[in-house]
Amino acid sequence: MNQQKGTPEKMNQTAERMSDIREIVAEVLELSPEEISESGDFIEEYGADSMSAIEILAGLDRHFDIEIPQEHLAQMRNLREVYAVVAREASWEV
Amino acid sequence: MHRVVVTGLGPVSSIGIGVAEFTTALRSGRSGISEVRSFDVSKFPRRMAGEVRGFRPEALLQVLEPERWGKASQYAAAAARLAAEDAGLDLTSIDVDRAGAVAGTTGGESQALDALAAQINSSGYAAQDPGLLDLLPSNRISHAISTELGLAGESMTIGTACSASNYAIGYAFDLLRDGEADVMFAAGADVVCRWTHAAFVRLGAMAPEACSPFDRDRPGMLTGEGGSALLLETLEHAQGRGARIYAEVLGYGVNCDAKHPVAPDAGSIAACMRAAHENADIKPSEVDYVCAHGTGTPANDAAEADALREVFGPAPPPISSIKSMLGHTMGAASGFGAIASVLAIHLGFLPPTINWSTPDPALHGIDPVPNRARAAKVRIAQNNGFAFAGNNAITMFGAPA
Repeated sequence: MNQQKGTPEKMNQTAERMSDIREIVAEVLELSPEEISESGDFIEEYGADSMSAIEILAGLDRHFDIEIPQEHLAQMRNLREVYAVVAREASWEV
Repeated sequence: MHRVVVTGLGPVSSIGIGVAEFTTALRSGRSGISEVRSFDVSKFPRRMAGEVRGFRPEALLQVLEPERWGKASQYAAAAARLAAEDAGLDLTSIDVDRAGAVAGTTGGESQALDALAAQINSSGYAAQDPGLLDLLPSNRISHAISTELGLAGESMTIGTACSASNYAIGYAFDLLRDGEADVMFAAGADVVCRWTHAAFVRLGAMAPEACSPFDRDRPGMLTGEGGSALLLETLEHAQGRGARIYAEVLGYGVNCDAKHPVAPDAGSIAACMRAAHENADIKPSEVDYVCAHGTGTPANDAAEADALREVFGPAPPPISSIKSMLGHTMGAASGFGAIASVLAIHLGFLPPTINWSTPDPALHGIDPVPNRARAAKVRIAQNNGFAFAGNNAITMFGAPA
């Protein structure tokens, strides 16, 4: 994870955002959130396909009110990568 | 009365084959328009169309032998196969006597017809290739789906032209709702061909380069092709097999003004919208998105906007035309609109009207979702389809309850 381990507020915020992302991904992949690890590959480990990738993208767009360009899909293969892309698109301070 | 749901989507289109490619293109507003290759277009004053590239029937079809079927039938069967796969439907586990296919078309196997016309023109009637004549009957389009998927229930091709795949969805909806079937494939298919191209050029309806619906300077339509299929099931059947439910089919409306061979009539389009709302048991204020017929001709878009304001008041819901990307895919068109409407509900976005630059004062109050897809919560979507001779069909979709 590349965000600073700063204030407790910031750590809480990071954890909350990661938890939101995890829930969005879990719902699309029809898993429970705790089944998905931060580095687990969506396709290799959780059976995602190209349509679930788009569903995840659309879910993130809606939840965080952002527009992730679809060409970023290739860099969104696990939770940690998704967090990095969302953080960039949402201009979160990291 | 059964509730009817959409569980599988199968687009074979100029902007993508299969739901993932199609969705990506729809969200990014990609154009599928290119110069015609399926016939010699060099002597025509209009040369662009939405042709499907990279279609490999042998890779998609498991049962049909492509050489024994026309291109429209191949598109329909491939689209239905993709919809079944998208839905994770195990065809060996369903009651095939209660599973059927309905397909809409405008021209049927038009490329075979073009080829036969060329043979007659150059060498007389006796020169017709009997193999091509075999391909010709339009009822083969729904039969292609039934044969490919082994469906033994009703198999029907509907020839109501540019609204035909909405008619197909309505027909399938009735069978499912009334308990006559468990599973129905509602499809549409047409091919780019010389005679359709020539006819629309002669009508003066064709755009030179790009189709820009709802723009003040819209020059007209472009022809397109492809196959669109939706897998519809009763809610019980879908739940029984644990299927993902994209959306619910809420209802539909059809009418025909029977006034003019080509001019659209805003009054009868408005009446069709009201019939669809009544059938779906919803109020206009509940509609979040309208997938337009939106051909991009001056006459269609003006009549569609007038009808919309008549039904919805001065500020109708956003209305976008995917024909800006696909061209007018004729019998497949309202099926593609239905797929787009279902994706709008499922993913929460409005497909854009691309090539749009200038507001048309005559279309006041119309929000065409210009050029870029927009995130939006869509609970109810309305999918417009209008055909020549004023033959209108509108389908309504809702978020799964």
